[in-house]
Amino acid sequence: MFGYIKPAYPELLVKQYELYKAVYCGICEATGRITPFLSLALSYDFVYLAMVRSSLCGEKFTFKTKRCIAHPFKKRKMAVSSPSIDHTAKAALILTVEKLDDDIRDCDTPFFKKLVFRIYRSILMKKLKKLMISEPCFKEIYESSKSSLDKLVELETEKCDSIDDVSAVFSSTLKELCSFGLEGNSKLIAGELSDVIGRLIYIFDALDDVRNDEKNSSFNPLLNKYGSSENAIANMDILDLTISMYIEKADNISALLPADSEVTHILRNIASMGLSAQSASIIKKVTDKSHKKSKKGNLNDRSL
Amino acid sequence: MTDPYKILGVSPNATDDEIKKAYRELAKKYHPDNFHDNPLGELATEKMKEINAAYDEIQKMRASGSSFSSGSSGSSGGYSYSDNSSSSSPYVKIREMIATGRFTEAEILCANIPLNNRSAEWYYLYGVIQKQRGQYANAAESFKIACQLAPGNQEYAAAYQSLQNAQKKYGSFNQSQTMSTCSGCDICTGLLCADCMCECCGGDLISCC
Repeated sequence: MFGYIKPAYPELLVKQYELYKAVYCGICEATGRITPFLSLALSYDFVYLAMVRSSLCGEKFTFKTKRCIAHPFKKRKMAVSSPSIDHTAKAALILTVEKLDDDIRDCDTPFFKKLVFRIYRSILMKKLKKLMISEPCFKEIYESSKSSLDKLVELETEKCDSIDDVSAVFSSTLKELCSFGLEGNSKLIAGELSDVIGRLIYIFDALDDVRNDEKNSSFNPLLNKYGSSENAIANMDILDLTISMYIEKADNISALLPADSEVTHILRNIASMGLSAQSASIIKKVTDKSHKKSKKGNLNDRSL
Repeated sequence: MTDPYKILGVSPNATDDEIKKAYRELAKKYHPDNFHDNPLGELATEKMKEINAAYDEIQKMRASGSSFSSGSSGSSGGYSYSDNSSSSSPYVKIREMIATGRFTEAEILCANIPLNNRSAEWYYLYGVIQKQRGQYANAAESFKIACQLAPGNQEYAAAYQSLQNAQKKYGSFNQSQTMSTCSGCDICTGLLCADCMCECCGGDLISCC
């Protein structure tokens, strides 16, 4: 997970901001209980996942103050572990293993990095195996995450150029984890919302990495579609349109979340403002770089 | 699926405005905010979804000129289409399938039309299918091509426009980027103007000119 799913902080109330931070710390603590190494892989996206589930389950967070490794000198307010936080920690384990598998499989990863990933994966895998024995339902989810990785490989080999198709496969594990154990409407809402969010994460990442992927000739559906990163950037209006449509869908679904909690306010803030701010900053970053590059190119031309 | 008009409590002949009004009133009524700590909250969300679905369905029915059932949520901008007279035979069939909600079959039919036979209408219909299936990158692309191939067509333009409503709200291109910059030149011009105005009133701002 990549940390693209963040609220628009200036629009949050202070208490909501504190709640957000406290949930982050709570998840960090919960992952630390599985293995301290997992806390390294934590990102804001997981806070979103925990909040969606707590909102749908009508669960209220309670808090404690505690010191931790990351903040040894000051006691921090953190959420006491709850079903949704515990579930998110387990989800983080599966999603991180999935991501490591993907990185290890990627032939462009340098040898040394790959070695580190392998060691990291073996540590996490030990814990995941333990988890799968104690809770067999996670085994099914892990199996399906493996099959979705296989599907990704398939799409890569056939040089798929539809970012919709690739992102749908990418978000399938997140969708399963988010709607896991919920029922009826809650399951529907969690599934749809996490599907859109997963797709957005993939699209943001593809857009963010379009230059690096071109340099390393890694798989990126945008490059397959537009040929080069320059051409993809030239077609930014249609990408922006696509992203806006997905954000609109996320915002529409967020309106169906139970409305009586602070958590829902944060989730709606993310859907209505945080996501578009994120997309704007990524698009700006990518296009600015291309401007700089072309300016630099012009200078070089002149000096020649 | 029950009659969406019945759910909203309007007659099938109601105008778009009447339907929007009825929808807004019901949405206010069933909004979960009204059901704090109330066991009816869940029922309200259920109802809310129902009216959302009904509203969407009416929008889509009016857009395509017939009826079908759908399960997705999300609102669409209201627009009405005129009857399309320029449709050739395979597209009529695809339109029928879209209208009856058989999107998978419609997509297969679309895919069967060879690449060099694909007209603006193909791209439009493909876009409709992709949008319904939540494949927004494909939908945006298709509508754009449809509009490029047939620039005068109102139906395609309306479909593309309805997508751009989302971009207006959430897009990064249209967000206000009107950061006014103030250069040294601007300051000088401003001072000169102020001086002129002061002189008109009998005073003076810059004594030397």
